Amino acid sequence: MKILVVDDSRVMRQIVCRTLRQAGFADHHIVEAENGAHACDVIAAESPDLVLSDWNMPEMTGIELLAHLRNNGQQVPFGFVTSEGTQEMRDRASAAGAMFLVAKPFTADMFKDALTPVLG
Amino acid sequence: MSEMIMLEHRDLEDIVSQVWTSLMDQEPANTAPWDPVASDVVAAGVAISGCWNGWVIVETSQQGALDLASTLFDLPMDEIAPSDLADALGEVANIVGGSVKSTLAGTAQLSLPSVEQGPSTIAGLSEASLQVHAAWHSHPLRISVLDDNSKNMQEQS
Repeated sequence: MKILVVDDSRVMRQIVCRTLRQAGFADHHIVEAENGAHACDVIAAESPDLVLSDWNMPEMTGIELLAHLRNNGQQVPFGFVTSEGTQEMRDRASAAGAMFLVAKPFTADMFKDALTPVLG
Repeated sequence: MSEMIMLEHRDLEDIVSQVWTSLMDQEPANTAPWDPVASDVVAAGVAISGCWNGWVIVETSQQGALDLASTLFDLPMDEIAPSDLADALGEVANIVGGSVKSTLAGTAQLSLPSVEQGPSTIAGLSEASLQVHAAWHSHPLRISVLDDNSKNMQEQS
């Protein structure tokens, strides 16, 4: 399966990729985007099976990306990986159609718990 | 009306410990002195605005920021570009800031991180009431939570 990692921080994209491997998802193909607007282009070109997105990003935030996708009929499974872990943000993410929200700092076990229902 | 931040020194120590253990695989040593040469300081900060207004700032030495970026990127220090150093320290400030924000009872927004070479230009930082001094890999660390008094006073009036 193909996973799109969206984060404006290059180091965080790398840490997310490393954690995916540690969580047992090493066999999946990973593509990257550096903000929501870039992610729209990558999703159109690459058709990922899962989007893991940061929340606060320049150009287009993660929640704006999710709204854009759903408004355009794109139902790709979507989860947040963000420093925004409050209940309010979790409720907003869920209401917008996100499957999960993993708060930074995270562990490989947190990734395993959140992603296994999607990736198996 | 702006709320008071309920975070205590011990809570900030716990946040710092959790972030460093998770990202850097090593807890920083607490109660280390903060004594770098001012020109050697690198500072990354995020602003919180809403039910509470203020800053969360992470400072270390140039060498500390380089070591931190090297650890996070898993690259030798001589392969770390200045943009990588700013990216890594900014992301650490973002995660500490998100953890501080999660202790607030009301609604607030977290800014994107900004990184400064040299001591932070944010006024009143040295007098921040909530500050953790630590050391990681022998590098000095200072993590501050700074109340934006002027803004909070305006919102209370």
